[in-house]
Amino acid sequence: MKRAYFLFRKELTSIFVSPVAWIIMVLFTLVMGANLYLSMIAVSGDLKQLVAAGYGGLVSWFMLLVIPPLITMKSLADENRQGALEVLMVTGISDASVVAAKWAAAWIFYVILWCCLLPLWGILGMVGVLDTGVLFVTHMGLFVVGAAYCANGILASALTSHPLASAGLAFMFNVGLFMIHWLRFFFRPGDLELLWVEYLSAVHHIGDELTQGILDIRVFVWWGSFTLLTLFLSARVLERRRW
Amino acid sequence: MTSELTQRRKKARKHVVAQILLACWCLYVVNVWAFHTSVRSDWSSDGALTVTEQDKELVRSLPGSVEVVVPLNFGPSIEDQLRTRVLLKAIRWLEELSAVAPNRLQRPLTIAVNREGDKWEIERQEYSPVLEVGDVDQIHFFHDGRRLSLSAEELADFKFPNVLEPESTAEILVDRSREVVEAALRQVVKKDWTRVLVSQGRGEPPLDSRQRNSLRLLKKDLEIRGSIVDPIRLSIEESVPKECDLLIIVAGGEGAFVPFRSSVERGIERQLEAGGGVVILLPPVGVCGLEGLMARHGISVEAGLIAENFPVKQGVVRPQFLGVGRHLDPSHPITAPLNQENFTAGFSTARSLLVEKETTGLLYTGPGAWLERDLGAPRRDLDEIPSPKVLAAATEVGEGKLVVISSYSAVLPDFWKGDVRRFLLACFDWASGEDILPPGSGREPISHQIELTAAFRNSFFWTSFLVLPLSALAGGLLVAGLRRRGA
Repeated sequence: MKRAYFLFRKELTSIFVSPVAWIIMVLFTLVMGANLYLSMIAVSGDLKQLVAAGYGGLVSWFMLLVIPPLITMKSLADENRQGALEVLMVTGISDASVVAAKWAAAWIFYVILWCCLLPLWGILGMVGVLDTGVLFVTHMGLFVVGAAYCANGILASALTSHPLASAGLAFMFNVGLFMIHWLRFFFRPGDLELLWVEYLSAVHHIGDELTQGILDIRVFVWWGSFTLLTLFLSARVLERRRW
Repeated sequence: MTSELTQRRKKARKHVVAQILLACWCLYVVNVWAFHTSVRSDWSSDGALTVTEQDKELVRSLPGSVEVVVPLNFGPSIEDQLRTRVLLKAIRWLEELSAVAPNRLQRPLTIAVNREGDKWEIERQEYSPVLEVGDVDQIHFFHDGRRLSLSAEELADFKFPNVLEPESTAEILVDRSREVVEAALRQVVKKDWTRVLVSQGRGEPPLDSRQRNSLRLLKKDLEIRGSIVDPIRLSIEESVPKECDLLIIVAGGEGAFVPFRSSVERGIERQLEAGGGVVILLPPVGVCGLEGLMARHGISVEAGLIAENFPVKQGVVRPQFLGVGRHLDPSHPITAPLNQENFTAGFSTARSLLVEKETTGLLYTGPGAWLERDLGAPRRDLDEIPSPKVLAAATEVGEGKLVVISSYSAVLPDFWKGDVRRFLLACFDWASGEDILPPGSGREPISHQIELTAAFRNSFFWTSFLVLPLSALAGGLLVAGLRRRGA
């Protein structure tokens, strides 16, 4: 456990000293800041609608799909390519600990990215009445969905030894999960399949529920369990070296 | 040695495959359990989507499945936008209710008619009774071959610029979506539907005709609110059938209206004594033959028509034969749930009613209205003193209920809309013993709007476009500098 914690700290530090991370942060704040500004104009300053318009729109979905692969692309693939993974393995740390530490570091960075936008909400809160409950629930949703997307990135990174290939693969995984939402057009209201599609759809969770202030425990169960499964699969992929 | 290693590898692979299958199975089991165990909470400050225990009880008690279809037109005008906003809020509320028991209340099917015309064409034929092309911007509930529809005006009180206040802003005053949707759910699954009879055969507007001067919209509205509407020829039958809950007499038409005989009056009296409801809509001139009955119950009709001055263009006013009801009785069951502050119901060629103590005046004009006796052209003479006139009155006759409306024109297609329609539907509901209008007062929308002044827009623009990204860049440069110094 102690080794895993040290590895997590090392990973987090290595993210923050990497220029790529800061470039991601600059681009993220620029794009999302512009998105929030334009959304605010579009909803004529209605702060309740702004949460849905700002975090449920295409721009923020693009960020949600693209950022996790960029953060995680180097975590295992780069080490695998440089042969550093073997060195890490002989220290006695388990595969699961390596995977968990790398995922946690990437996820914390992802959370920090979204928290970078909070000053903008703070400014809006100073001039109007902010629905903090809705904002809190929306961020919780973004974090839990992001956790699964980061886990996808770790799995993709474990599967390849090229960071760019890893990013592409992770992006495909994320887009696959994202596209589940559009299966709903095959079903009618009242179909059980439609309810399942909504159960699995991140777009439904964020766009229809969380940005409206509705917190459904199922969102956490689905994305939490999916994250665990993906991390488990990543650990099994790493374990492949041993046999 | 090599074969032992191969054996071990094979065994390990089998174990890994078994582990992965087990993990997938665990994921499946956990999510199937969660799928059927919904724990939801509303974190918004206004609690607009909070489902109470009573709401859950209502949805769970629905007998069978209720389907909901909402065709939306997304009109460009500000009025259409406000109506669409109210309908979308109601759809969201229905989705939340549906989450309680999806097999009892299906998720609403929303169709953007102007974008998905083909889909609308197919879908509207799917339901029974079939939806018509014009049934847009309404919420349609279907259950067991029945349909009930709600328009945006029934879900909320609006304030729109009108002839009287052309400069006023359009806004939603009170949102009753929750209460009205729940009332509609109760209504659509109700077993006993209200039986409404509409008098015909003495010059009244026809009930089913497509022509301009007909009662087709009235009939349609009553039917989609859960009533069975049939004509009755009072001059032939002279008595009202026992199963009739409400008798509507539209005493007027384009041709000559033939007043009822006294035998009809006795039949109507028996209907009231039996606990039924009667609504009389008066002709613009002459008598309807029921004046004696109305007088016995404290309502009499003054000679002449209500007239009032209205602005026709800037600074110019012109008197017109129009009674605009602006003030409602705040305590009567019909008018209490209606929007008391910005109510505007125009009645063309309206009579003025005089009411006695035991009778309630439901709707009054403003103080500027007068009674014009010269029916050729409205012009206020010195002896015609303006004062509030009574446009509608109601009284209880034992178990029975009588409502008199000062003008029959309100139920014609050209006038059957807005506050007039809501008011008359409320009258019909009360007279027939129904209670579809919610008793609650609804809620005023909570505004989260901020004023987008130029100064604020500028400061927010620079913060979002420059300050935040530059802060991140500065952070990156600082870390790089520290690393270089450390190295």
